[in-house]
Amino acid sequence: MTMNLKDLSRSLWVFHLNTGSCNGCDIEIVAALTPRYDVERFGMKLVGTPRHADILLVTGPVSRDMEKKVKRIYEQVPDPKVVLVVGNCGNTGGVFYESYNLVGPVDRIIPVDVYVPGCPPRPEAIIDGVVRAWKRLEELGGKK
Amino acid sequence: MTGFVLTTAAGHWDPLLWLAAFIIILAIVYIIRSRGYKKYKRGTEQTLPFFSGNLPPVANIRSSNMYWGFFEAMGRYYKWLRRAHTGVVNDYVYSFVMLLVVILAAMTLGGLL
Repeated sequence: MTMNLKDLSRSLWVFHLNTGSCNGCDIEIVAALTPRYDVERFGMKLVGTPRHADILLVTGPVSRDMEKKVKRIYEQVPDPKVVLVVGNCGNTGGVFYESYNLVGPVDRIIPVDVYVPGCPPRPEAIIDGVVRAWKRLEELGGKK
Repeated sequence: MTGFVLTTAAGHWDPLLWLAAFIIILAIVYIIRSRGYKKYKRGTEQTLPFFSGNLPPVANIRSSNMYWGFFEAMGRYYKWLRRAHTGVVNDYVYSFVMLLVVILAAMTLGGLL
């Protein structure tokens, strides 16, 4: 994958949304941020509100109760925005596939740009997904 | 008092200094505001406050209202409780008598009386 990151004039900020995940993917996301992998050294960090985010990172299979919240949070991310789904549950429903209480996977609710499969995916895979999301953001005109 | 400056035994008050301070503060506020992100689309969810994906409450909740969440969550119980507290002594005595009857009935059935 060839990268050209010159266009993005500021650091990548990510909002993490858990839609009913078992927390396995969330732990791996924390692992990607903490000293072993330390993506924060590249300026990537989690933010507390979607209104500050460039990327919406979604975990979990989207339970029925979360559907409206997922849509609202997606709409609150300013344009241009990229959606990154981490984990099998968010990608396909995973072990909860066709469960009575699911409305997911995520791409049934909101448009998804990057899929990172795994149960849970390793931090290397998540970082690779974030880099792809970054590239996608540049394609969308990610210059702030 | 000389010119605009008011000098008293209690202190010194110069309106021009206050005006200058006000203008400087206004300039700082304007600079900070102008550096904000301008691409939010007005009239969409992007300009609404983030409330964990929920609709924001219609009324603003004061920070001093520490028990708001508690009252909100227990709303149905408090509604019932308020209805029971009419302020009429007859109602309270009636409740007391009814409770007494229930306790006595329970004790009788339990073989305690």
